[in-house]
Parts: sequence; structure tokens; C-alpha cells
Amino acid sequence: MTTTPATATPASTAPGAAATLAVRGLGRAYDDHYALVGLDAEFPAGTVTALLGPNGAGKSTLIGILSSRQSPSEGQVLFEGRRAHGGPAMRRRIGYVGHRTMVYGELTARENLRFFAQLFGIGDADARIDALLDRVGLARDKDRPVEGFSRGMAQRLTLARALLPEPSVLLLDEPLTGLDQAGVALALELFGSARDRGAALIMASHDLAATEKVADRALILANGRKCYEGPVQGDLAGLYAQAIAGELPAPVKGAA
Amino acid sequence: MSDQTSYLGVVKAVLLKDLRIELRSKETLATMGLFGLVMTFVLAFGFTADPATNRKVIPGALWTALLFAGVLGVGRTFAREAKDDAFTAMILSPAPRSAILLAKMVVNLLLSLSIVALVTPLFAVILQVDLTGELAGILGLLFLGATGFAVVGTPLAVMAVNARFAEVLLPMVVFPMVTPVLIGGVSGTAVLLGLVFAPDGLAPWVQGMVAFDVAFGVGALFLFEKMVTE
Repeated sequence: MTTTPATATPASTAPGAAATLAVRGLGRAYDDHYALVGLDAEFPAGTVTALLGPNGAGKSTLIGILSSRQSPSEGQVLFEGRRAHGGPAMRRRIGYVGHRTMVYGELTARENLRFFAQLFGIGDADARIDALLDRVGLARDKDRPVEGFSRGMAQRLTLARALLPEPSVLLLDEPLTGLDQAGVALALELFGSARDRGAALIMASHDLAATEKVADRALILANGRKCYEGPVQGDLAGLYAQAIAGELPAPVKGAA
Repeated sequence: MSDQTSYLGVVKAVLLKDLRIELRSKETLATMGLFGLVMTFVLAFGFTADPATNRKVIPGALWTALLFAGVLGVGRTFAREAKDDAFTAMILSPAPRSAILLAKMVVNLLLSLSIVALVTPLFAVILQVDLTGELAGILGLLFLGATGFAVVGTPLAVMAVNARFAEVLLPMVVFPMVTPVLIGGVSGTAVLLGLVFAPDGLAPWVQGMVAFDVAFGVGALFLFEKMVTE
């Protein structure tokens, strides 16, 4: 599937062309401060990028912009080398896991996935839904209302919801929230599988030990600016500490 | 993947999802229905026992009940969407966003109409006013009014859903905006009941309400894409 001209225009900058997703000069301003400043980054296909940074670094803002939920104040997002506007063709190929479960408590697990399958226009989704629920360990609970689920079970369903359309980009904002050890292992396995079939994963998590097991690359932010972008080799916690040690002061709006 | 998302398919999916949840929880209907009932009785206690006098207050009482029950319902339906942020997952799907809004408008319209169906006969019985001759016309006006309320209240509820004090903010924003439709409804009902002299009959009020519904409905559907992007 390709992005349509209605939702994507040729990029003016070539470097992002190789990556599934890239940002160029991305900035986001709020009333009195910048959450992101002049960010350039790439998220190649078939990789997991660990998006790291202290609270308020701009991780959730970046994920919000990549998902099209938020608009940037400046700069651009490139999707497969073309400038992205967050249209349906792009949204069809993005899976999103946020801080909250993003499912309906009154519906069963299967009904939730059926509903989202309809929104994604996935025909004959029942077999795919049953296979996914089985994969995330909810086969026995698929016909139970989600409001009776534990937080970890609801998070497993959230992962299934995000993976349902087989996205080529997976945005993961604290995806391990509420998961027990087995759940974390399962989530990392699912992320690894998505990467192996060519998806670009961007994962923001404070669980560095778990993130290290699956991440190939890291993008480290502090105060809205990039401190490090590159491969993860060895100790992610050490890389993180080293990167933010040289962080720049917080950018304040209106300051010279 | 050759999957496609059809506009009507999305409207149907969101509509059925909301109705299924409502039928299971009965939360919004119970809240609105109870509020409508309480309001009916409170207003009835304030009126005289004279049906002729009661007939004069029916338009105001009926539309006040619809207005307050309506805003309660709109707020509740989006509180559910905000609870676990499922609304975000919905709008980040490739589904046409205006189709999602249209479905939510229809849901709110259906909820308001169910309250109309409950409250209108109750008012007639409690206030001992015979509305049989004018019932079809009154229900038609209430339909137009409920539509106006849904097309204004639904997008505003989306915008207010994550705001602090959303339950207070929403009525404060919605009430002034639906004033034209409220005036049309109350005045049209008064014309139907023969309470005011109207040389042009009901037509100007109906035309005004239809124009309001179409203008705000179409405007909201076009602007919704911008409304949901922060």
C-alpha cells in the first residue's frame, strides 16, 4: 500500500527518504515553553528505536506528532520520504499504544477488536482477531467485558488492538505499563516480530532493562532537544546517563 | 492489505458500538431519564391545577426539560470515551473523522428523542393538557430541536472532553449557542397550541430551525478534523 497524493507530498529533503518515518526541524511550542526544538531524527524500517529521556523531555509530544494527534509548530514529518499530513492512508499504517488502555470497558475483548477492525476497514477480521487474542494470552477471556480485566490483561488487549492492522509503524508510549514479567516478555516478543516483518517501532519507556532487550537504536531527548541518536551497543542505561549528562538548558519561549 | 474504510461502514460501526454500550450500561439513558422525570414533577408542582393555564406553560417546560436532559446526555456519552481514552484510538484510525462525529451526533439525537418520548406524554398527563391534536407537530419540532442540540453539543463535547471542569464548561458553552433553536422550538410550540398570534403560521420557526440544524451540522462535519488535532 502506498500513501496517496492527497495525504503526502514529495519531501523537499532527501535524507529521510530511506526511513519509514523521519522528522526534520521538528518543533512544538506551548504557551510558555518549547516541548521540542529543531529535532531531526529517523526511524528506519525493521528497527526498534528506544525513545528515552527524563520526564518532560518531549517524548510524548514527539509520539503525539508522529501519530497525527498533535500538530507541530514547525518542521515536518516524513513518511516513506514524503511529507506526511496525518491523513487516512498514513493513519491506516500506524499502530498506537498510549498511556491509557484506549479500549471500551463495557465491550468484550473480541468486540473491542471487531470495532477497531471495522474502523480500519479490515474485512473478515474474526480469524485474525482470534489469532491475536490467542497470541496475547486472552483466548479464554475474549468474550468477557474488559472492565473485569486486570490492568495487565487490558494492556495485553491494547497491544492486540495496536497490532491488529499489521502496522508498518508502531508508536509505543509506555507500552509495558501494568504488565507482569510474563506480559513484558510477551510484549517484547510481539515487538520483535513486528520489527522482523519490517515495521518501524518507536518505544518510549522508563523500563531501560526491558527496552534494552529489543531496541536496536536509541533517540535520547532532554528538554526538547536531541542528546543522542544512533545504535544501541551494550548498556542502554549507561548510554542514557552519558547522553543526558551533557543536556542543554530548557528552552524558554521568547528567550534569545 | 486491500482493506478499505467506508464512510457509512464507520457511521454504522460507531453507532452500533455506542448503542450496544448504552444498552448494557443504561448509564446515560438512566441519568437523562431520571433527570427528565424529576424535572417534570418539579415543574408540575409549580403549576396550577387549571389545565388552561398549564397549556400556556407547556412550551417552556417541555423545552427546558429537553435542554437540560440533552446536555447531560452529551456530556455522559463523551465522559465514557474519555475514561480510558478510547476516543483517541478511534480518531487515530483511518476512519473518516467526520463519519465518527456524524455517528456520535446520531447517538446523541437518539438519546434526546428517547427522553422526548418519555417526557412529552408525562407532561400532558400530569398537567392534564390534551395534546393529541398537536402531538405530531410538537414531536416534529422536538425532533428539529434535538437535532440542533446534537449538532452543536456533540462537537463541543469532543472539545471539552479533556478539559478541566468539563461538566460545568459544556452547558456554559452549549446553552448560548442553542438559543436560536430553543427560541424557535418554544415559539413554534406556542403557535401550534394556539397561544400566540402568528399570521405566518409555523413555517418561519420550522425554516429557522432547519437552517440552524443544516448550517451547524455541515459546519461541524467540515471542521471536525481540525477540532481533534491538538
